[in-house]
Amino acid sequence: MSTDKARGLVIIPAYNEEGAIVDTVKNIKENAPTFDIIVINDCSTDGTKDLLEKNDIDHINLPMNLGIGGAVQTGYIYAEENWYDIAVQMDGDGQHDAAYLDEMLNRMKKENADMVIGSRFIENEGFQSSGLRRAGIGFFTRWIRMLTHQTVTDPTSGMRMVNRRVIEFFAEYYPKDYPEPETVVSLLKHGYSITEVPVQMLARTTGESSISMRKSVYYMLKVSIACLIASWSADLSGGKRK
Amino acid sequence: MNLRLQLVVAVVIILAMIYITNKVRKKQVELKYALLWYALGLIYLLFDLIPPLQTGICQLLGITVPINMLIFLAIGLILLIIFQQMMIVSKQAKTITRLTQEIGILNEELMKTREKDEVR
Repeated sequence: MSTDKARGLVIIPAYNEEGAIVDTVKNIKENAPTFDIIVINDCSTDGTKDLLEKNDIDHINLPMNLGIGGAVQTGYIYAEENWYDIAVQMDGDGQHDAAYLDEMLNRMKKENADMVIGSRFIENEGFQSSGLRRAGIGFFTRWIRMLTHQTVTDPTSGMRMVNRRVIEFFAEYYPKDYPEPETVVSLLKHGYSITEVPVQMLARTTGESSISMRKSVYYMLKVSIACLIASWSADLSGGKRK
Repeated sequence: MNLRLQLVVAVVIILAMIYITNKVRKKQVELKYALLWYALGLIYLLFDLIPPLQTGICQLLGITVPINMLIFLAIGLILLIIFQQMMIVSKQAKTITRLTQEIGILNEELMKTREKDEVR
């Protein structure tokens, strides 16, 4: 199969996103018409499910709330089972613009990368998130550089494109919560390549970030340790690519 | 430890063991998980009924009152049991997550198949 005919799937995890989900999907259909879309409705308690049905959007309803990691992984399992070559993960709150997907795909082919991350911090344009949060992301960038000797400017970005090999990797194991930085470490340590494309993100229009101030200390600690353990775990298993 | 305390401890342990065995019989507790409790009960019973064992280990560990040693021992074994349960819970969480994901995906496929059938 030539890479030009590669089948791509956009995975959108959605938990109570009735305010933004339809526009998010519309944006992807307009800007990236070659991609299939699957919304993972993580047992939303609002009208998300009805909206998805009414607008004829392909979706998976999870019978129980699994949290972001479990929801996204459902998408990767779906991508694996349905033989997709490429999967893209995008947030359901309209922060990510599908106009960048073409560029990400080009970069993936050109650099033969296993993962392409849409990064806010290469050109530092668009919504940059709050100062404190940026500092947290900067810390993870340095932490990941220490562990892997590679630089990822936006390791928390939820806009990521992966190839078939990574789809299979994620279908097998994906962290439960705050998964992004940990998976970056895990992939790099297992010899997968990651590259970044500058993107602008929008401030979320509705809903709330999954990380509140109260939880941020826990978040920093948990993710730091998760990265460390992911790094050791890859070292112990020989860091070989599966 | 005086005789009265020894007897009270022994009776409580034996009643607890009977209770656990009954639960296993009724299939409300898996024997696999009951085994650790049996081990705890047995060790306790031995310490309770053989005073030289008490004094010997107490001296070894520098504990003056035998009942304190029993409490120390109990806490250690309870931590062990809690850890065992944590492992069981983690494993179950993983299983439930995978089941939930598969049910979601199967449901989606079922809906698609039904739609196709209706078109026909």
